[in-house]
Amino acid sequence: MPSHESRPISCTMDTPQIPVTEDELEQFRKQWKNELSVHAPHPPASSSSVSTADAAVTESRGRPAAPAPVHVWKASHHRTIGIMPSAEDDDEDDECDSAVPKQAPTRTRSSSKKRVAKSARSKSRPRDALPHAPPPIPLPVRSAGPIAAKTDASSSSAAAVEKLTDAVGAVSVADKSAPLAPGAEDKAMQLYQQGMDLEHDGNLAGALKAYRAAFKIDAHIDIRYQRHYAAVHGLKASASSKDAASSTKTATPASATTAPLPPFNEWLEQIRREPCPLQPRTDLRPTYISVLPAELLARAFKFAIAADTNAFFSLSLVCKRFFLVTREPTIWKHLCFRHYPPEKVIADAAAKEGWLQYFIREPRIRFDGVYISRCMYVRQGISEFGFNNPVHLVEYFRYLRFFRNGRVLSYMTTSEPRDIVKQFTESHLESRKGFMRGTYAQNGAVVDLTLTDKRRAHNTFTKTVQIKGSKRGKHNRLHWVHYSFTTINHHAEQEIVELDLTEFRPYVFSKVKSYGSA
Amino acid sequence: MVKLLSSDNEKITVAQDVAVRSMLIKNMLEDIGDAEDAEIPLPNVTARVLKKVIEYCEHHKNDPMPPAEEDELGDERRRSDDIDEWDADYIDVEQELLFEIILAANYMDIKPLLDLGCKTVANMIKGKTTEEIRKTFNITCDFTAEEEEQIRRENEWAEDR
Repeated sequence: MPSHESRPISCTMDTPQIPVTEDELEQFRKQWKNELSVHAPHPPASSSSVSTADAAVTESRGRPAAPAPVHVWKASHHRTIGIMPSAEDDDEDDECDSAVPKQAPTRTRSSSKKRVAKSARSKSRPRDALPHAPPPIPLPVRSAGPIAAKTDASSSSAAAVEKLTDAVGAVSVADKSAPLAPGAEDKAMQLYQQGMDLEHDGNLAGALKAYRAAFKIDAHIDIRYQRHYAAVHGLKASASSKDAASSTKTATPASATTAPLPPFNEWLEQIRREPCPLQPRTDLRPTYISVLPAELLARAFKFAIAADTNAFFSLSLVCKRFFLVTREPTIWKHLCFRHYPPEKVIADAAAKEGWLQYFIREPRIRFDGVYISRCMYVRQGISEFGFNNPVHLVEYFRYLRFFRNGRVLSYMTTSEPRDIVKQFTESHLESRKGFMRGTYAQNGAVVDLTLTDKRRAHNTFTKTVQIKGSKRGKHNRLHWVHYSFTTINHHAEQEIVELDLTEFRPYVFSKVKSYGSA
Repeated sequence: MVKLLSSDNEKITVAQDVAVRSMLIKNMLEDIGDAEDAEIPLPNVTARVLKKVIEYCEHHKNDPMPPAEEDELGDERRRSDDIDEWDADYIDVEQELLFEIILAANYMDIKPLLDLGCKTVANMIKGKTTEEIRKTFNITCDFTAEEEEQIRRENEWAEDR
C-alpha cells in the first residue's frame, strides 16, 4: 500500500494495474472486443475486423510524417473529448471510477487512454463502444453543416476521399463484413450526426444518448460516418480548415521522399522554369516587396551579401523567388571583383565558369573576421623541493587580421580571443609586445606576409601561408608553409633564421561582426 | 522650370536643376530642346511617389553627378552602411512607399536614390535569419523540406556561425 505522500504521484503516473503501453492497451481492446462481439448486433464480423482497424490506427501512429496520422491524431483528440463527458455526466460511470483513485490529474492523452482501458475492462455495456470508437472526423470540419444535405460529391474531391479511405484502410475491410439494412444505416447515421451536433453544442449527456443509440444499430457507425463524410466533404475540408491545410503541408515533404530530388543543378533549372511568385505569409498586409523585379531585388541583395555572405545563406532559404535572385550573376560578379584583383578575375575567365562558382572555388582572404592559431607547448617547471618535476602547459594565440588595402596585422599573445578581437586595431595594439604589422600579397591560394615589429627594428619577418578550407567554399584556414626572419647583424650582413613549424597550428578563421563587410 | 505629369494626371512643376537629377528627364529635355511649356509624362510614377522623389532631388541638386557607367570597383560607394543622416531620415518610410521609390528611381534613372533604396532594403536583410526575413517582408516559404535541405547543403559555405 503506497504511503499517503506517494499516492497522488501514483495517480498522476499510471498505476500498475492500469495498462500504459500501446501493446497492453491493444490487448485490452481485443479482449474487450471479444466480449463485445458476444453482445453486439453483428457478432462474427466485429471482433476480428475492428481490431484490424485498431491495428491500423496504432500502426499509422508510428509514422508521424505520413499524412494519415494527422487525421488519426485528431481522431484521438476527438476521442478524448468524447470520453471525458462520459465520465462526468453518466452516473453509471461512477462505479467504474471508484475502482481507481478519484483524482483526475490533467486531461492528457494518457488519462484518456486510462479511461479507454478502464472501459475495456468493464463488462460490455453498449456505452463502452463509444470510448473505443475510432474517430469520426476532425473537429473543425464537423461544424460545416448537416451531412445529409450535401450529397453532391464533386469529382475533384475524389483524391481526398482516396486519402481518407487510405487512412482508415483496414476499417473499410471491417465495414464490408458487416452489412446493414439500408434503413437502419440511415437511422444510425442520423443518430450519430445528432450526437455530434449535441456534443458540439455542449449537451454531452444528450450526445452520449444519441451515440449510444447509433452504436446499438451499427457498431461501426463512426467508421461509416467518417467515410461518408470524407466522400461528401473530403476536398472542402482540406481546403477550408486550417488544420487540414497544415496536414497537406506536412504531407508534401512526405510525398517528396518517394520521388527524390534531382541533383542540385537539375533542380535549379527546374525551379527556374517555374513562375515562383512571392506568397504572403499573412493576409494582414500585402507582400509589398513583390513589386520589385528580379534585377532590383538582386541590387538590394548585392549590398546585403557583399556585407556578409551569411545574408546569402539566409536569403536563399526564404522562398523560391528569393533563392533564384540570390544566384543572379550581377551579385557574384560584383563580389568577385571585390575580392580578387580585377586582372586575375578577367584572366581566369571567371564569367565563363559562372561568377558564383568562381567565388566559391577561388581561394580568398577574408576580411570580416580574424584568423586565430591556437598553439600549445609544454614548459618544464622548477620545483622547490625536487620531489617532483612540474610542467606547465602553455597556451597562446597567434592572430592575423587582413585589410583590403593590402595591410595585415599580426599579434601573438596568451590573451583569449574574446579579449582581443574587438580591439584588434593598430592603434590599440601598437605598443604591445608580440604585435607586428606589414603587408601581404596573395597569389592563388598562397599568401606571403612581410611583417615588422617596432621593438625589433633590425628584424623582418616573412610568413607564407596557404588558404585552405574545412569545407567547399569556406576558405577558413591558413596553413603554415614557411616562417622565417631576417636579422641584420652588426657587420651589416643578413642572417636568415628559419623557424620550425611543427608546433605551429593552422590559423582558423573566426568571423567578427564588428569588422563589417566581407 | 520643368512640368512633370504623374500617372494619376497631376502636374508638378520643378526647377530644371532639380529635374535633371533624373537621367530620364535630363535626356528627354535634351531631346525636346527648349520647348517652354512641354510636359514630361511619367506614366509609371504616381504623384505621391513623384513628390517624394522630387524631395530627394531638391536636397541633392548640388551633388556631383554620379558616374554614368557602373564600375565594379567602386567599393566605397557600395557599402550599405554609409547612408548619411538626411538620407536615412528621408528613406525611413513604410515598405509600400519604399519599394515605390525604388521603382521610380529605377525608372527615372536616379542612381543615388536607387542605391539608397536598395541599401535600405539590404539593411532590412542584414543580420537576419531566414525566418526573420520572411517575417519582415511577409513571405511564405514555398520549399519542401527536401528542397530546403538541398539548398542548405549547397550554400553551407556561406554560413558563418
